[in-house]
Amino acid sequence: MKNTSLITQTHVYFKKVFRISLREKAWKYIIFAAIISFIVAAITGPDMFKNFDRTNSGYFTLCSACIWIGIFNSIQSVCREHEIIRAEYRQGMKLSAYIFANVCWQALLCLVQSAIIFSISCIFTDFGKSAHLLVNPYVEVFITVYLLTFGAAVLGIMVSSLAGTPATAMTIMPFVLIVQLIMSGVLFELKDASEAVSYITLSKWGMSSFGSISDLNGYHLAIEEPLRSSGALMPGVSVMPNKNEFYSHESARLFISWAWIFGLTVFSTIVSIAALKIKNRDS
Amino acid sequence: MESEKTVGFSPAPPLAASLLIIDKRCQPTVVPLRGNMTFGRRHSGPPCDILVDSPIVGRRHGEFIFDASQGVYYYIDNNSLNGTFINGVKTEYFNERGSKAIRLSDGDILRVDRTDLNRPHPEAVIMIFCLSLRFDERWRLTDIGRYANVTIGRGSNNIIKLTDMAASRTHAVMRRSGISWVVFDNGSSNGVSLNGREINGNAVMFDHDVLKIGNTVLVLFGNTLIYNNPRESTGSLSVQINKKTVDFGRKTLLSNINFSVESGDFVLILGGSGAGKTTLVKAILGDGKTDGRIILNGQDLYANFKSMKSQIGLVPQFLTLRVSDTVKNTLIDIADIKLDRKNYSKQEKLQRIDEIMNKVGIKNLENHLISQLSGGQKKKVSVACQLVGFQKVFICDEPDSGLDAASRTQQMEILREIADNDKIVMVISHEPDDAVDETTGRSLFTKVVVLAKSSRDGAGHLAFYGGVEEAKRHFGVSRLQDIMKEINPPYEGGKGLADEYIDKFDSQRG
Repeated sequence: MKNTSLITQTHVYFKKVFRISLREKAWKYIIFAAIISFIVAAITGPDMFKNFDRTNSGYFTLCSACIWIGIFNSIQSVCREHEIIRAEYRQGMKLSAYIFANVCWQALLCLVQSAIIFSISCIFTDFGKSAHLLVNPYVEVFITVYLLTFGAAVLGIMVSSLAGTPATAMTIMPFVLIVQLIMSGVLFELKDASEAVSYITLSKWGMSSFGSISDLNGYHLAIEEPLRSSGALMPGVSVMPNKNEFYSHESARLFISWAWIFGLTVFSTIVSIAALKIKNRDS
Repeated sequence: MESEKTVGFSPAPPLAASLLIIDKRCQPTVVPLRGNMTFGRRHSGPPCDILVDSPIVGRRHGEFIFDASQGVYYYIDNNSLNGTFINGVKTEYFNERGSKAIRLSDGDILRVDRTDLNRPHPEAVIMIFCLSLRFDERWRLTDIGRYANVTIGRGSNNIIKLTDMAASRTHAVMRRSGISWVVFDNGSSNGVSLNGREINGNAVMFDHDVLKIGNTVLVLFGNTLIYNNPRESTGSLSVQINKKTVDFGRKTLLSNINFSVESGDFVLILGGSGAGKTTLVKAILGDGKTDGRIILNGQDLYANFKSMKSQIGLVPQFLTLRVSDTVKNTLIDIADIKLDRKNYSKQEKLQRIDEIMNKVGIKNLENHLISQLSGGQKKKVSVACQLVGFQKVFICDEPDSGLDAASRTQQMEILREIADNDKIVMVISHEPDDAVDETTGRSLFTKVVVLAKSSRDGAGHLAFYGGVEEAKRHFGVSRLQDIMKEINPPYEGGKGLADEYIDKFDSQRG
């Protein structure tokens, strides 16, 4: 017997995920995003665009918050349903429809969360002071926040699809987060293999997006301020080491960074489907 | 008929093998195959078992060979002048006796014709090997010569109106294209096969080609379409497991399990721990590789797993329902997944769900969340989920566990009612004696499968398969649950007679 189409099934499962998420108090994810954003924004504060260190740290914190919130949304979404998925797959469910439905739901949830993250951040930080590339810094930062949160949510779906149980998924989650933070290139300088690995992390491309929007390379280091005021550092001279090519203030750089984040999101979706297919493979 | 729903295609059960023969007279004849039979032209010499009147058929053209050990038929062409085409491929010379023996499957098309099948000989003969035709089948002939488009389906507005419930409303369309036709699958639920092969979208159809839609066979003969009107198909399940091993073949879980179940059977699966009940269920579901075959309605489940997996439903021991969803929404979603929009209106789906909820006794719970239901009610919802998709076989793993005696009986009565509707229901239960008809006091089960773990190889073997009373006599017990005492090892409180009963059953079977 032929089953219904992929689009129909995705629609059915989206409605189901939406309905169940509301019943299971999905608003707690929104509250959670608001609390995290409030803490992050309060720390980064109004001086975020004062110098390189503050801007870099501010964006790194925002980037980390987005990834954390996104992964937390979905880390248990699939693994807690493996037995149900197996039963429904036998009944004709398309595994890709199931994953697409979850991805669509995360796209919607992350949109709301991103709006909250960004709105709260705007209360404490005047993004209008930042440089911009395309339209204005508000739009560009919001798009980056959304892409990062959504990308992390889909990464969470991937981990959840690979993990056999919720306990396993929650064990894996800290490692995924640590890798994301380390590979952003903010905390440590990345070389050789670690640099190669960083290409497949959302944090690297998130920081690259934020860096290129705000022209991070154009800021001076915090250490220069006392040197300048004491006259030890001549005007126009900077102690800033080599400029980071990933922060270059160019539209192309921003589009490339966004494309990487989107590409990693698509990759996570494909791996999620493949993982479920392997787990439920036919005899 | 039009308002009724398309059902999942289950080819008719393997009745006695037969040949549907159509020759120039355009008159379909169904000939039963009874063991080895010869096929040839009617002539003055010694006659063949199956005779046709066609000069292009040899006097002793071919043979049907029955392999009793496997229960299958083979065909050999006796190096005839014109040869035999099987599903469009001509048999080749193998030795002086004839061609290689070709194993026949339900629906295979044998044709004696010109080499160019697109220009059929006027005296060509078509034979269709069938495991699904009744000899009293009614055949219809419709002249389609005056039509440019011929619609085929269950709907009353079609030119070819089918009674087969496996056909969609407008299942397929044939469009004239020069001397041939192009047949289009109109997004049907169960697909269309042409000359034994499922078509993908559309395919060119020539004279003498054979279409199959569900259990309906349609043969194009010139401007005439010859087709049958099959009755509602029933079902059968044949389990043939030689061996099921794990651990790279080092450990055998099941060995030599062979039995067949017919539609309407309510089968109890009994066995002690480690006897292989769950392994057997998984094998029937096609979950995990097994050395053997599961034949459902004449089709091999393992060979056609993707298309057949949804025909066998499982009600698992541990429920697989989303607890934050309502009963009705759970069923609606399953209906939306299983029943496509094209063939089932929203109204039909809701009607079907209402029927199922009433049948299973959960209509009053339709707006309850699954989390608000008792264990027994959840089991009923689980059964209802399986009923949505017209499955032929239901396997229930301890559907009565955690229920009180009254609920256990009620649950079993529901399952028996499902079986009575031409389904096969197989149940693992540890309280089989509660499943009794309250009026007659007789067991609700019709068959019993007893698995016992042999001390010789540690694998589960068949210790009995048959009727309920027969089972009690076989084990010398008055209650079904006492069978377990007979076969369980002493350390599990049994008599440890598993090997004796396995041998006894083997010797009875011969």
